[in-house]
Amino acid sequence: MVDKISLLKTVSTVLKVVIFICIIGAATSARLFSVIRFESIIHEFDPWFNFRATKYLVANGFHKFLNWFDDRTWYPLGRVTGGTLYPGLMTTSGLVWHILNNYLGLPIDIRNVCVLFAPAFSGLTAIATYYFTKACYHNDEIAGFLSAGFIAIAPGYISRSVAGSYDNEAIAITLLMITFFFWIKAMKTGSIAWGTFAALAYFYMVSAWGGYVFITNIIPLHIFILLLMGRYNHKLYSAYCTWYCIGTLSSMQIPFVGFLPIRSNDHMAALGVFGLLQFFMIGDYIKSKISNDNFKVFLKTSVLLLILFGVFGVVGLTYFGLIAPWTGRFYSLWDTDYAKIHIPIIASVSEHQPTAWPSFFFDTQFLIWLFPCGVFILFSELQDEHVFIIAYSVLCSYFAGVMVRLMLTLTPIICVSAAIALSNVFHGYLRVRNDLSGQGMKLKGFANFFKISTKLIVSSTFLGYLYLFVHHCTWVTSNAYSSPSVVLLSGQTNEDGSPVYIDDFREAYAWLRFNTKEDAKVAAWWDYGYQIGGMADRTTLVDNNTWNNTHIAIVGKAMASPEKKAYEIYKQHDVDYVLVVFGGLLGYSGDDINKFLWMVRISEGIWPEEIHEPNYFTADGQYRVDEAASETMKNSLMYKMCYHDFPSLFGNSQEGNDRVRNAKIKSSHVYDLDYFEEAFTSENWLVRIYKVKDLDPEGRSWKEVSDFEKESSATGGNSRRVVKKPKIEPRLL
Amino acid sequence: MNTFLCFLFGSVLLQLVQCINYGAWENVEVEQSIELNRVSLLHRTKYTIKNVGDEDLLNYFVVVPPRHVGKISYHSAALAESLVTLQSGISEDGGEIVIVFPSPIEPNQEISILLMENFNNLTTLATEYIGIGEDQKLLVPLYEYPQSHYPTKTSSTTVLGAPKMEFVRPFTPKKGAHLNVDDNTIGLGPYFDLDPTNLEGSVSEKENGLLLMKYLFNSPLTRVVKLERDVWVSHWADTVQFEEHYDVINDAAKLENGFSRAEWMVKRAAFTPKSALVVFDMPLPEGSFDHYYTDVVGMVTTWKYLPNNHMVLKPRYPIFGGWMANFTIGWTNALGQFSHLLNKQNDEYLLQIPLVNGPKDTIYDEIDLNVYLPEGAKIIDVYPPSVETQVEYSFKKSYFDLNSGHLKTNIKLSNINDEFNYLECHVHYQYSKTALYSKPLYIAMYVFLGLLSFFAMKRIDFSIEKNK
Repeated sequence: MVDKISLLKTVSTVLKVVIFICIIGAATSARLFSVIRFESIIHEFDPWFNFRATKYLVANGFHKFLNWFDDRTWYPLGRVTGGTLYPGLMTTSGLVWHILNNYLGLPIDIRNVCVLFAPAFSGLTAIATYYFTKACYHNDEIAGFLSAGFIAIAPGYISRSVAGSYDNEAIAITLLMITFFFWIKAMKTGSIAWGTFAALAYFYMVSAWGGYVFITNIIPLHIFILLLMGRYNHKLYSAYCTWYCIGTLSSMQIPFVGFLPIRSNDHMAALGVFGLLQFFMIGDYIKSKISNDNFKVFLKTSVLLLILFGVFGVVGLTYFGLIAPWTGRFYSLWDTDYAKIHIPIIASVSEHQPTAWPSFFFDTQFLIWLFPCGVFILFSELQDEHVFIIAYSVLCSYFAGVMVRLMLTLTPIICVSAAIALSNVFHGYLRVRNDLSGQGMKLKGFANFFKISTKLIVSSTFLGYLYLFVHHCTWVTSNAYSSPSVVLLSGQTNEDGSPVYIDDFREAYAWLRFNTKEDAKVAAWWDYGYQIGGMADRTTLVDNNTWNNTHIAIVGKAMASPEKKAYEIYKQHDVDYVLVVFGGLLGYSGDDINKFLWMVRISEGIWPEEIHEPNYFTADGQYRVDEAASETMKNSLMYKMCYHDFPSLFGNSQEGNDRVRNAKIKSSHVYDLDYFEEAFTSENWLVRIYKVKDLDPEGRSWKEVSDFEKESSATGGNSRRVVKKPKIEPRLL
Repeated sequence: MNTFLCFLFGSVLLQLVQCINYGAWENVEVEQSIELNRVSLLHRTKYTIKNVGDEDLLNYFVVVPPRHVGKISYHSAALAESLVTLQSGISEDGGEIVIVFPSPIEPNQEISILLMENFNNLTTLATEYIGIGEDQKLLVPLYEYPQSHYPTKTSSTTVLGAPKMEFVRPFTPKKGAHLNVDDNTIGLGPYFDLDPTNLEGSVSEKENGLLLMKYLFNSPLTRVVKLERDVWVSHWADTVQFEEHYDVINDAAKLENGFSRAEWMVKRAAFTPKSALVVFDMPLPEGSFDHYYTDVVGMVTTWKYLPNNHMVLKPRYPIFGGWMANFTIGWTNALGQFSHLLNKQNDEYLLQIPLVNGPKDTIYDEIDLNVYLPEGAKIIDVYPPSVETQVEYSFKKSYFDLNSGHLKTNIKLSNINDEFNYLECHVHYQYSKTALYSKPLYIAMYVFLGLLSFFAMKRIDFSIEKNK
C-alpha cells in the first residue's frame, strides 16, 4: 500500500513537472512569432531605451549605471537617467547576461538576452500564478494549473511580453504574481518570513516598474476591507507590518522612488492602513482589558478622532507641500477627460486611451465571462484570501476600462478567477468515472444516462472552449501582437516566396548613424526619441520619457510654426537635423501629420498666444492637407517637410496622392523650403531627414537668399542654384 | 597566381643596403602600360636593361615617384621570357622598388624584366560635387616618360581602360615623341635617349614630366575602411564559419544639392547608379550555406544568394560619394573544403583560408583576419601572405568554452585591394582526439556538478521547528 502511494506520488510529481515544462514551453514559444517572422529585434519605442540602458549597464557596471547622466537626450538639459529609471529590468538582464557569459560558457549577445527576456519570464509568471491560485483557493491544483496555462498564453499578457518587447512590464507581471503569492501566504499564516519574502518581492517590483503603486494600494485595501469586515487578527497584523516596514524601507533605496513612499499621496493609503492596524492592535488589547460598554465609548471616540486626524493630516500635508499631490496619470484614472483637458501629453499616448469593449474579448476570450463566475464563487465563500481576489478584480476591472494599458494588470486576475470557475466546473462534471463504474450509481436507467450525458456535454463544451481559447490566443499573438513596429510587412513577396519588408525606419536611422557627426542633434517628435538614441546613436531633444512637457512643447511649436520661426527655435537648440515621419506615399497612418494636432495642442498649452489650434483647420473646421488646408497649416514646418517634393514624384501632373488622408497634394500648395534642405528620405518616404542650414555667411536670412536666387535665375543669371552643400561627415564605429 | 608569388615571398628587406649603389645599368627599352578601368590602378612595365659597368650586378632599382609613394598596394617582378618570379621589395622610405636577380648579371649582359605595380588611392576627384545621375571624372597623375635612376634609350607609355581621357593642361610631347589619342587609349612616345631622373628636391615634378589626366569613371570608389573577418573552425560541426564586418565609404564625388529622393526616383537613377554604390557583389567560396546579412541596427533583408556562389547585397540606402555604411555578412562552409589532414598520427591539419571574399573593385585600408581554432588546438605555424604581416595569438571564449577558449590568430593587413581575393593564408595546426572528446566531457561534468549541488542544496534543512 505504501509502495502504491509513493508510486502515485512519484507519478504525480513527474506529471506536474511535465505539465510545468509544457506550460513554460507554450508560454515561451507562443511569444517567438516575431523572432521567427522578423528577427531577433527590440520592438517599438520604450524597449529601445531599456535596451540602450542595459548595454550601458553591461559596458560600465552598476555604479556608473546608477550615476548615469545622459547628455545625449533632452538636449541641452540632459537626463539624470540613473536616477529616473526603474533599474530592475536592466539589472536582471545584465545579471542573466553576466551568468551566461561568465559562468555557463554561453557568450550570448546582450541583445538576444533582452529580446528573449520577456518570453523567459512569462514562464516564471505561469509558475507564480499557479502558486498564487493554489494559495488563494483551497490548495486546488487544477485551478492552479489552469490559471498557469491561461496566463501563459492569454493575449492580454502576451501583448506586452512577446520576444523583443523588452519593457518593464515584461518582468513586472512576474513580480506582481510572486509578491501576491507571498502576500497571501503571509496573511494566511501570519509568518514574518513570508511577510519578508513579500516585502523583498515588492522591493524587486518597485525596482522594476512604476506600476508598483498598484501593489502599494491593493494590499492595504485588502487589509482595510478585512478590517471593515471585522476580521482583524494577529496574523494580518504581523504580515502587513512586516511587509509594510521592510517593503517601504527597501523601496526607498531605489533612487527614482526615494522619499516618495512618505511624501506622495499615492502611498498614503499604505501608511494609513499601517496606522489603522496599530489602532486595531491597541484596541484589541484594550478590549481584552476593559468592559464592553466602555470599549464602545472608546471605539466611537477614537474612530472619530482618527478620521479627523487622517483627513486633516492628508489635506494639511498636501496643502503645505509636504506630501506631493497625485500625479496626472492618477487623476486621469478617475476622470477620463482630465488628461485631454489638462495634460494633452498623457492623452496623446494611444495606450492611455479608454479601452474599447471588444478588447476585453480580444485579450482574454472566454475567460472574460468565466471571470465574474470565479469572482462569484469566491464571494460565496468569502474567506480572507478570497477578499484579495475580489478587491483586485473590482479595482482592476475599473482601471482596465479607463486605460488600455491596464488590461495587462487585469489579465492575471481574470486568469485566476476563470481558472477557479473552470476548476469548479471540472470538479463537478469531469468526474464521470464513478458514474460509469457503478460504484456511486444511485440512479438507474435513463436518469443515469442523462446524468452522464449532461456531464459529458458540459465537460466537452468547456474542453471545446479551451481548444478555441488556445486557437484564439495563437491567432491573436501571431496577428496582432508580434509586429516589432520598427519593421513592417509590405504584404508582397519576393520571387522565392519570402516576404518583402518595409524597413524605412532602420534605413533612416542607419543613415543618421553613419553619415552625420557623432554629436549631431536631431529634432523629432518625442515618439522617435528612444529609437533615434538606440539605433541612430544621436543626441535628441525629446524622447519617450516625456519628463519635461515644456521641452516637448518647444519641438511641437517649431513643427507647427512657419519656417523662419522654426529655424530660430532649432538654431537656439543647436539642432542639426530634423526628422519627420511621413506615411502619405506608403499609406502608413501613424505618421507625423496625423499626430500633428497633438503637437499643436501641447505647444498651445504653453504658448496659447502664439499657437492656435483652430488655425490649422479649414474655415468649416476640417483637418485637411490638400488645397483646402489653411494657410497656417501649409506654412507650418511639418507640412512643408512632409510634402516637400512629394507632388513632383507623380510625373508631369504635379499632383501627388496622399494615401493616408486620401488627399490630392498639388505642387503649388507645397511651399519651398528655404531654411532647411533635404538630407535624406527613405525608400518609401516613411522617414524624411532635413538638415538645418548654417547661418548665411553674408548675414542674410535664408528666405532672402532663396528669393535672390530665384530672382537671378528668372532674370537669366546663373541658372544653376547655388546651395551650400550639407556637410556630411562620415564616421567610423 | 604567379604575379603574387613575389608578394608571398614577402617584401624582402633590401633596404638593409646601407650605402645605396644603384649600379651601372642602362634602360635599353622601357614599355609602360597604365590601366584605368578599376579603382586601383595597374601599371605594367617591361624593362629591357643592360649592365654597362665593369662589375656583376645583383639588384635593379625602380624609382617610385613622390606622388606614388605609400600608395602601392602590391607589386611583383618577373623575368620577361621565362616569367620566373623575382624577389623584390620596397625601400623603407617607399621611394624605390628593389629587384633582386637570382644570379648576378654580368657586364654587357642584357635582360628583360616585367614589373607590375598596383596602386590604391592614386586618383582624385576632378569635381568634388556632382548632381544625381551626373558623370563623374577622376584625375590621375602620370609621367610622360619613365622615372629612373638610369639613362633610357627608348621608352613608350600607353594609357588605357577609360573613356573620355583628356589632359588637364594640353601639352606637346618632348623630344619629338608622338601623342596618339584614341577613344579608350592614349599612346605616348617613343622617347629616345633620356637622362636619369633628377630626384633632388630643387627639381619640380613638372620638370620630370608630370602630367595630370582627367577621365570618365562612372563607378563608385568603394573603400573598405576596416574589414574584420572572423573564421571559426569547428571540428565537431565539421564546418568553417565566416563572419565579416565591413565599414565602407564611397570616395566618389559628393552630391551637389544634398539627396533628393524624388529626383533619384524620377530619374530612375537606381537603374544607372553611376557613382552611387547600390550593390555589393560578394564572391563566396563554393558550396557555402546559412548566409546572413545584418548591420548595427539589425537584419537587412535585401540580399540574394545566386547559383554562381555570389551573394548580392543591396545596402539599406544608396551610398553616394562621401557616405558610409556598415554591414556584417556571414556564411558557413564544410570544413573539408579548407582544412586538410596532414599527419594522421599527430592529428595535424593545414587550414587554407582565402584572404578576402569582398566585392570586386574595392580597396581596403585595413583588414583584421581572425582565425579561431577549437579549444585545445595548437598552432604549429602560420603562413601569412607576407613575411611583414603582423601575426598575434590570443584566446577567445565561445560557446561552452569552459577552459582556455578558442585559439585566436590575428593577422593584420593594410592597403590592399580585391586582387587579394585570390590569396590564401595558411595555418598549420594540431587538434588531438583528446582535445576533441574532452569538450563534451567537460560540458557533461559541469551539468553533473550543477545537478549534484542542486541535490545537496535540497538536503539543507533550515527549519526551526524540529518536531512537527
